Amino acid sequence: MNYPIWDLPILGGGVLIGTIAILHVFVSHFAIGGGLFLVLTERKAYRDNDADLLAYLRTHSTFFVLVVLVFGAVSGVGIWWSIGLVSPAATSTLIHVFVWVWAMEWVAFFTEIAAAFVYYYGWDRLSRPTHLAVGWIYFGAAWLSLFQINGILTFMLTPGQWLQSRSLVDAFFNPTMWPSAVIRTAVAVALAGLYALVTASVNPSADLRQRLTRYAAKWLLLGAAVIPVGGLWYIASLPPLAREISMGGAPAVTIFAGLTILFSALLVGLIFVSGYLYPRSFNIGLALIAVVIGLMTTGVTEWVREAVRKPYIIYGYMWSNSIRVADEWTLQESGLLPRAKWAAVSDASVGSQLRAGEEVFRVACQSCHTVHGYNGIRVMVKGWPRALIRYSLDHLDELKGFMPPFIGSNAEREALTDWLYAIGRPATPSAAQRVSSRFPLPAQVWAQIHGELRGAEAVPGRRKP
Amino acid sequence: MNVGALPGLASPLIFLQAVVAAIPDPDPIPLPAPTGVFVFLLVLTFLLHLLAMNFVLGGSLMMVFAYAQGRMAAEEIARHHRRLIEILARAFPATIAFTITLGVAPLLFIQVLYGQLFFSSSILMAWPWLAVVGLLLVGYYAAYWHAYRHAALGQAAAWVALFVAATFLLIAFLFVNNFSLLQNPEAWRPLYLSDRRGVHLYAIWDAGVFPRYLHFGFAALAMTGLVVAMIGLRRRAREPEFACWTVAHGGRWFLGATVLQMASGLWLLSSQPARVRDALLGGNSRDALLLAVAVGCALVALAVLAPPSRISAGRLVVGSAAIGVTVVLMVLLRQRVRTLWLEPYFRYEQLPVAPQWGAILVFLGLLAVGISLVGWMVWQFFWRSSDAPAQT
Repeated sequence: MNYPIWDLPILGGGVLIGTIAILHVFVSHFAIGGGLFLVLTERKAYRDNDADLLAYLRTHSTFFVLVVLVFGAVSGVGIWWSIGLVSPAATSTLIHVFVWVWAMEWVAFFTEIAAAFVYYYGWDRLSRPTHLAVGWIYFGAAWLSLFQINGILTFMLTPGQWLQSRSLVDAFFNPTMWPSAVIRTAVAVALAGLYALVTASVNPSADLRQRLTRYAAKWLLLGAAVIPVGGLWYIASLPPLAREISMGGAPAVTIFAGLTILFSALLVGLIFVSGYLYPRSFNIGLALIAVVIGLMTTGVTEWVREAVRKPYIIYGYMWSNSIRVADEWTLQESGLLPRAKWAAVSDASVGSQLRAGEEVFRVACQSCHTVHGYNGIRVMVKGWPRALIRYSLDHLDELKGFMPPFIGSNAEREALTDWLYAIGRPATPSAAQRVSSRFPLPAQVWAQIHGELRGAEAVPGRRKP
Repeated sequence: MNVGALPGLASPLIFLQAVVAAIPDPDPIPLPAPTGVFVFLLVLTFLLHLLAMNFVLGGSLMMVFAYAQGRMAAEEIARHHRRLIEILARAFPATIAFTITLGVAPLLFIQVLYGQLFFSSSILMAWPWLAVVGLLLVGYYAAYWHAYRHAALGQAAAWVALFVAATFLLIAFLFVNNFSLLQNPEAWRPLYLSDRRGVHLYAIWDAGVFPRYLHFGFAALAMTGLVVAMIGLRRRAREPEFACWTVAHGGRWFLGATVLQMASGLWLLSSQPARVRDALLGGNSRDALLLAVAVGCALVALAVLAPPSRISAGRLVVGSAAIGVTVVLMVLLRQRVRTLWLEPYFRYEQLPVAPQWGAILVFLGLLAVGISLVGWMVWQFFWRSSDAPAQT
């Protein structure tokens, strides 16, 4: 509200961030696990005096560099770009709390990139112990980078003591930081195996291909075995509302949480049978199917992790529409529009109601909803009677636990109701009746809506505690 | 076109208030270090980013010219062009990586000091700004492709090089757009209210973006010219003929680009608002001195390195040192110019501060470890090549 709001039709900001972030997560975890894979496998090759394995590693390191240094690094920058455009207020909060953690992460990032180049170009130049040492530096720096970003990410869901103390230590070492670090490390190991299966599957030597496939499969299975342990610990550390949302409170989130388990099981099953038990039959087709399932697993998991944070973007500090919890009561009285620096309308009580309503939508709702596209509001209110829209706005957080309360003045509430009613109005009145009669609210709730509207001259909605 | 001129706001004071009202409020969480620390780190890391970026931008352009010139030149010269292309191309993957890595830090510090301005201007040009990421991705992969396959690509290699150069030129242009818009809050609200889909390219509204872009672009070419001359000097013993040609070739690029850079600098100066221009031309003695010394050093470099056919190791060292001073002073001056532009609307000195000293110490410690490790790896790589490498 402090910042201009980017109109991103159809797609919505969340989808944009999500798309970039999921791709980045899928590659950046490989950047970490893959580093460990390279250095441990290199050590194994020296120990076993295995020249074929060493030759494979060199090819694998080319693939690694091309995927990690280019796509991994650039997509990471892409996340910065997208969060600043879509959620500038939350990004600003994170920057102010964690700028020094990010600065430390930059040191790790820089060291990691330098080590990757020295490792990659060093096959022909460095002695074996030095080459291995560079590999370890790479992995150490890469893991440190994960550890630091993980602290910032988990802070958004569980800021813990920071809400009172405002201490960086509390913010970083928040309640889900450690379980999440365990999960992400395990994911990194599993993804190292998954990507190695791809390069292993195209190795020209049948014997080596078989050996490598089983070896890479073990990495994936080992990582996958640790993930559920970290997962249970993580779930136990979640705020109760977040746990509720993922376990039935919001059907879509619960379905996605179920898909996470389903896709993971599919992947583990596929790799256990085709990669570990029967590596001879493993081929690039299966490897690519596994990659696709892996990407889908990452996608739904990250989506659930983001979704359970609702109705906040920073739990207990900032609502998902970037309004600070501390500002809630001030804004309830003064209204949103007079404080929205970039809105075209600054007072909902003068001028066109519809225009004011659209502006309120932009400020209060657009961070999660589009009008016609993803999470589109028009379909949601299609055919709703005006009274129902108004009732929903007044009880938003009670009706839908994953939504913030409506924050704004009475005039703004009215304007938004008018606008929502206008965009959702069906073509014929009979259609309206049909929809309202089918609307799954018990009769006493309908009675309450009408009763409340009849008697409600005063501002309804949330009262200051 | 002056988008800042809002109709009906006759009084400058009211206008100023309207502009300031659009600037987002500072974050209520205080800055975790004194502002001077962030300014220092911003300027320092930007300088490092600039050096790497200059080579990537200038080098990619020089490569395209080398393809074109090589095609027209006699075989002897064409061979030198091909050799130069090979050297530049091979250096690209690592230099692009370091341009990005070194760019992340100033981006972080810009966001902490100027977040309110940076997020606002970025959102106004959201799509073009987001395009930077896509352009970088394809340009980077194309640079890898060119680096490892240019010999096999034959005639097509020149086109790949052109594509790489075009993406980097475009990225630089988008950066200049955003950072010009950042320092001109007067333009924001009218731009935003005319279209909120984040499609604005500031250059369309303010031609002042172009001299700034050219000034930076020619600087990149001039710096690359110097680097190429140094590459030539380092190869004197191994490839004397190529070295001799390369030193002169780099010198010519340096001289030509520096003259053009000075011309674009004059244009840039004349396009500044009166309060900024006046400060630089004597109104503020410190700023004027910065500018005078910076230009003076560039003139010294020009005098030392002309004519290019007579460049010796000694001359190159003196010329490079002089240009080094110019670059440092120009980066400082760039920071001063931004401050002057923003003076009526925003001063970071007024932001609340509550330093996290513990975290700053940990950062410094980690930085020392990081620099040592990188130093050790570079030393091992360049000066301790093993007779028995990991793999042959």
